[in-house]
Amino acid sequence: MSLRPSGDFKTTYVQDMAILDTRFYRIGFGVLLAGLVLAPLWAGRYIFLLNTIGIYAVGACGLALLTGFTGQISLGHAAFMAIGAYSSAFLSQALRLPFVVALPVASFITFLFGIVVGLPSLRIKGLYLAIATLAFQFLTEYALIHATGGIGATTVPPVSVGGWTVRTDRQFYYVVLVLWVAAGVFAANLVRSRIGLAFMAVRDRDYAAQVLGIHLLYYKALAFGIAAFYAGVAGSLWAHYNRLITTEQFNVGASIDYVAMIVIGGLTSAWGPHLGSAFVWILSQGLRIIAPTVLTVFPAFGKIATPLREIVFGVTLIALLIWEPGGLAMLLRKLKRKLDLWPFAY
Amino acid sequence: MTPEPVLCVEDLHLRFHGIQAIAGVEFVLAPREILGIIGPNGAGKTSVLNCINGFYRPQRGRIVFGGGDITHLAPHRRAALGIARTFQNIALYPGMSVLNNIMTGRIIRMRSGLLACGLYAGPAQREHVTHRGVVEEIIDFLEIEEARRHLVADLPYGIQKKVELGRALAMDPQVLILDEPMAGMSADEKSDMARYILELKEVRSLPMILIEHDMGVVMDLCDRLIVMDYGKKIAEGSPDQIQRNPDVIRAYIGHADEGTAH
Ligand SMILES: Nc1ncnc2c1ncn2[C@@H]1O[C@H](COP(=O)(O)OP(=O)(O)OP(=O)(O)O)[C@@H](O)[C@H]1O
Ligand SMILES: [Mg+2]
Repeated sequence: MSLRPSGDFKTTYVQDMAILDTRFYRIGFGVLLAGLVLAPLWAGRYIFLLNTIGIYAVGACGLALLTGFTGQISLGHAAFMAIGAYSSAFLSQALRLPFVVALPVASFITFLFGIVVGLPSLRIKGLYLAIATLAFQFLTEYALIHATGGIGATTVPPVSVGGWTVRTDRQFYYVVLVLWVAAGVFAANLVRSRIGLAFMAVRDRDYAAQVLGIHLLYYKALAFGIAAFYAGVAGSLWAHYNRLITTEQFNVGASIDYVAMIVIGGLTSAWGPHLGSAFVWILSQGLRIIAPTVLTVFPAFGKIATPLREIVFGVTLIALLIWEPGGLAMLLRKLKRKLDLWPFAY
Repeated sequence: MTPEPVLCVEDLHLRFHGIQAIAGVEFVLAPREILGIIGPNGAGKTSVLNCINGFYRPQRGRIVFGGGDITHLAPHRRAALGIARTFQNIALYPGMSVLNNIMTGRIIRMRSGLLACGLYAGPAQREHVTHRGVVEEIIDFLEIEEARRHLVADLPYGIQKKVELGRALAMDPQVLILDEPMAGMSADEKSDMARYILELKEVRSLPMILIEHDMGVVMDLCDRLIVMDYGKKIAEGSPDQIQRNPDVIRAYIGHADEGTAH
């Protein structure tokens, strides 16, 4: 399978390193993108679900870079989202900065927090890092409640871009979509670049990474910073979308949701965070819809209705870890391979 | 006049709680030279390498590389100066392909910043293509074209050893340190590896430090040898001199009685 004889190496390598490396994926991506652009036509009142999926997919992209590609566990991802959300609220409410300024500045502030939280990761590893980031999660919630005078809630002005004010879910959807696609493409590019290689080297064997000249502290802190930046973007979007934010929206449960998303979606796939976010939110919504019906048929169902979401996620997680640790992204890839052979399954 | 040495190790002492792993070792590595370090198991050979690349901090002694004192530099700084190494127990990235494993050796030669990496098209892509070319040359050199896309974890031991050499070479090092590059290999694989090492010396003029237990290989490849036992350098000289040195023979026989020599 040598690439050498094919004459023009440059084009060969470029094609070889492309993210959408076959015509199937390029067409598939085009169709998906068209479907998403036209979503307000088909999604109806569920456009809010797409908004939620998109915002969380942005955050999950960051966590996938940190946990999936750099091997650093974080149970505080929602805390970064909160920092992005509250900074954005402050910048646009108190300082009257427009959304296009508030979002990047808030995300940069979150990036700085990420760097600081990432610094101890040179010494603290694995389970201890999980506990340390969990502590950061609680600390952030506590600090935000105090910063808002004990209420924990704050309001956020609507997005307005160049005199045009975003009022409806459908309008906001396009704000989300632009950032969602940009964030996804940026992350997919990053993992095949020099920085992505360094992240994976740190993840797979840190001492062997040092021997290649990779500064562990720099790359670990950078991974935390980038992950936080993504969470910051998600938080800022969330704040401007909901217009009222409370610390409960970014509690430890949300951090665990993030972990579930990247594991279910596929830890080391560019598609993983998007699939994971879609899975988690569609399932949550689905359960909410069927719950009342089921309740009238089986009243006993009421006892497990509340924790049902957690139960279903837990079971999905365990099933995937046992049968397909590559997550939904890997399941789809295998399905595609089957389709390639169909109907001649030889 | 002797040429300026590439690497000097002076009066090296290293102690772990109660174990004197290295006790006053010194040697120099000349340009284009292959220096062999031999000695029984536990003699302190790997510990010397770990001091050179910065994993261990010696309690006493000095390491000079390229004219500068590197004794207190962090490992990644030494790598950036041009010290590359392989490990006795392979230390590849199991979750990555052969291609990407070797590509990681190029990270220190790449310059694209965060933004360029995330946008990819343009400078980062051009840079990637250039470095990919270098990696492909190394893959050709090591004759591992077929394994290119495989995860290293799925490959046989002998090929993994080659990939690890490839990753070190990708750094364009000034000096290459090989810790038992032929351990556990078949006779064919060993002769391939010996061929690569000689070619690197002839074509790239790359100075090397080689630890190896296979005496046939060591005597063939090395220009000069030092022998270690119990953390001390007990002999130094050409392969011929070493083979006739009674101290060396004694050290090896002594350990053979304990059943530890290879
Ligand atoms: N990190 C460490 N902590 C404690 N002791 C160590 C450590 N590394 C090496 N040693 C000890 O130092 C001594 C020298 O070990 P070293 O690995 O350098 O020997 P070696 O010559 O490479 O042996 P081999 O031929 O078996 O690879 C041994 O007694 C070993 O147990
Ligand atoms: Mg050793």
